[in-house]
Amino acid sequence: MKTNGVETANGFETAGGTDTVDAATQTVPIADVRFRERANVCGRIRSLRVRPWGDSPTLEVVLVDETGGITLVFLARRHLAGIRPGTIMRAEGMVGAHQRRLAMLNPVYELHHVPASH
Amino acid sequence: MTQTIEPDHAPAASPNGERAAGRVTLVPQPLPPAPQMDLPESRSYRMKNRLLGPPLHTQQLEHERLGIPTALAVFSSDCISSSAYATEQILRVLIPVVGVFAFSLVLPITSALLVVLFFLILSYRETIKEYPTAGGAYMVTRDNFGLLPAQVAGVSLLTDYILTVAVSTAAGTDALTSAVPALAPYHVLVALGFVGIIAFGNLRGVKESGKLFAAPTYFFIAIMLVMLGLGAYKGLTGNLQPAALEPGGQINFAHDALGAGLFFGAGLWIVLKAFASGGAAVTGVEAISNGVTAFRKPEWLNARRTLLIMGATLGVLFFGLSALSTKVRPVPYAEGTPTVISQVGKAVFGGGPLGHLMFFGLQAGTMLILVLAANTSFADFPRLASFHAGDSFMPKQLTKRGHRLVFSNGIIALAVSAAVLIVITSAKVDHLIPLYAVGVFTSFTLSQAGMARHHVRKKEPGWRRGLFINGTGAILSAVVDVIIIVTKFKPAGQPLGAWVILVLVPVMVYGLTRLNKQYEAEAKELAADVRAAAEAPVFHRHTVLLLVDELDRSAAKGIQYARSLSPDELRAVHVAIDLDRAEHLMNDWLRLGLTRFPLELVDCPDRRVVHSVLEVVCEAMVDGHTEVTVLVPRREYRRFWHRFLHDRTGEAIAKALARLQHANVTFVPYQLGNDVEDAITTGSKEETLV
Repeated sequence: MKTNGVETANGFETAGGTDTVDAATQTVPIADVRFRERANVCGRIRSLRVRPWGDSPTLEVVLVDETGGITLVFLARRHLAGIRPGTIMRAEGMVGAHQRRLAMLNPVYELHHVPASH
Repeated sequence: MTQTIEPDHAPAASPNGERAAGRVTLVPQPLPPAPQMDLPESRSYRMKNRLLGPPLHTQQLEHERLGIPTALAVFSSDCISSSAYATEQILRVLIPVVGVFAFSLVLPITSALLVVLFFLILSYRETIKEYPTAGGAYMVTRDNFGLLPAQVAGVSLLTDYILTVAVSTAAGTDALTSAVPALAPYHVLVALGFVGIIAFGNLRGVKESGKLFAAPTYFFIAIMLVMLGLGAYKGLTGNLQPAALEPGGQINFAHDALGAGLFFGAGLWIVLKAFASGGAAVTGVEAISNGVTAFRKPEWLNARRTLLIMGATLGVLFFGLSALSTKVRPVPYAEGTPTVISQVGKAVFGGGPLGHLMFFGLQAGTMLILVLAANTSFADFPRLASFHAGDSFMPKQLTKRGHRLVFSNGIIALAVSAAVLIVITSAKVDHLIPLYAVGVFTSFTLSQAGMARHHVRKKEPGWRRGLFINGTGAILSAVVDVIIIVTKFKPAGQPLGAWVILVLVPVMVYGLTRLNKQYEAEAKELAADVRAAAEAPVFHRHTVLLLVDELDRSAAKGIQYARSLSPDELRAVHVAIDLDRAEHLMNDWLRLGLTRFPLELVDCPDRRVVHSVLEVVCEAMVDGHTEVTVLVPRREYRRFWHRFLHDRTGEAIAKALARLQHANVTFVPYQLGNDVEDAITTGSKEETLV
């Protein structure tokens, strides 16, 4: 069920675009995500970390579903509201690589469920 | 611990350096005699030092050797002390059945036991000569029959050592309560106290315990000889009166049997039974052969001399007491006190102040030597156990010499087992006696048979004589062993009997062989392809993960250490169970300014911290060429109970990670309550040092 993937000629490790979120939120299993293709995935945040990349901090999130995991990279961010361990979210963007792992840079995202803090 | 423990020992701050105009000229200085380490010793160590004395150097082992007088006190108290109760044990069996005729049977039975003793002494002289380095039933049996029979011999001896401690302290307590009846209600506690004192003496060291215990042994021998001499004189001059029978408490006295039963099978049975009970007298002979290495050089010669002196002393005392008892005719009491020896003593020393004084002296001497008989076991049990452990048939801890060069673990094990036995039998000698001596004679039999085989195989000069001696010794001990087992299998009215040993020894031997299999399997696994494993190419990536629970001093020490490691990847990991706390931690972390040290928050919806850490580690290793080190900051507590205030997740994580091939765990300890050295004062320290 590979849908919504928009072919692009040059899929470098660039930010995956800032276009508005599609109303049709057809997501793919993370296992089916392809390098250098656009993807729309949904999953749970397994871990997140902030690390410097160049001069600016970078928020890295590992998003997992039942089939696999992918890293979401938010450049120049230390914190994003609602993005915490256990959050269920949807992310859409161009799939590149970050630190030798499959990653989406600055994806468009939508929070589905944010765990309460007890 | 040879390094200084200051976190900062920069060369510039060295006290040996001279700073002049920005240039540092180092004047070489001799090293300090010991590494500078001004840490206070731990409280338990200081306590140990105060209780046991300063630690002994390993080189002092040679000087811990015993000369003949001390060795006699250390090794023979068990053997010699049996004379204090052997006669009583014989009478206790005979009197209820054959009545006054018992006093005619005591001497023949004693003589029979002395014949056994004579052959055992001869046999052990052979053993000591042939096995001068490490003798004893265990070694002899192992050499001649193999490991499994050696376990039987060893375990039999070990159980008997435990019994010796229990029996002799119980008998010593009886002697004490004979003199001081007020203590009678507390006799279990008194017996336990004796065990404690002897264990303590032994933990201080062989030599010292020898010194401590030599005086009572010689005192007992002296006062016994005085009593026997006086008794013999009085007996010959016809002045020795039979013991006054105080009413009540004696064991049943058969008036009608009067030897008539002797000529029936029942008579033989009862004689054998009395013989078996008296067999306790011969136990302890093996002590010297087990401890030849503890003697001063030439070990075997000194050991043989000591053995002879010991055998002669026992023979004289035992025979003398039995002979006197035929005149005094003491009747044992059901409760154990007053003892036969005390009744004889009362009769011999008579009334009057001097008589009373001598009587109390005798009682004190008896009590002391009985209690000290336990000491022989304390000298031998740990050594024998260390032989077992050396062959991987017992926990390896038993081979370790402790603070004062003695096998501390063995001493403690013996004390604990004996204490348990004392509590179970409520320190009653006649409940313990049926268990006693079975093990000793089993090991006698095995070791003498082993010696016989040794002579046949080696055929050294004079081997025929040796074969005769050891063969006779083996047959005699086997016969005695069978007699003991049969007659004391299950004494009427007593729950315990020789059957306990017959069950216990095979069970223990089975247990020890299982233990041995485990040790062998471990050793085999650990030894497989060591070289290939050590020389295998290493992974070229190294990831270090620091587990952080909260940002505190303990974590700070971990951060410091992690930063000194320079791995390919370094990050802190926090398992987020409480999201608010996790985000707090993240904010604090980002304020630290450790730009190359990211913090990762890991979701843990099922609160299985260990599992989450395992997942993170596995993910880090997924590329197949990354070695992972997990740093676990761990708080070390000043008091043992403080640790119960916190959970031990770190240990659980280490245990789980042990199953992964290329994951490693490093604990970063943080000592709590350590105000002496403060990590923050690193700046000012430099000035104080220069």
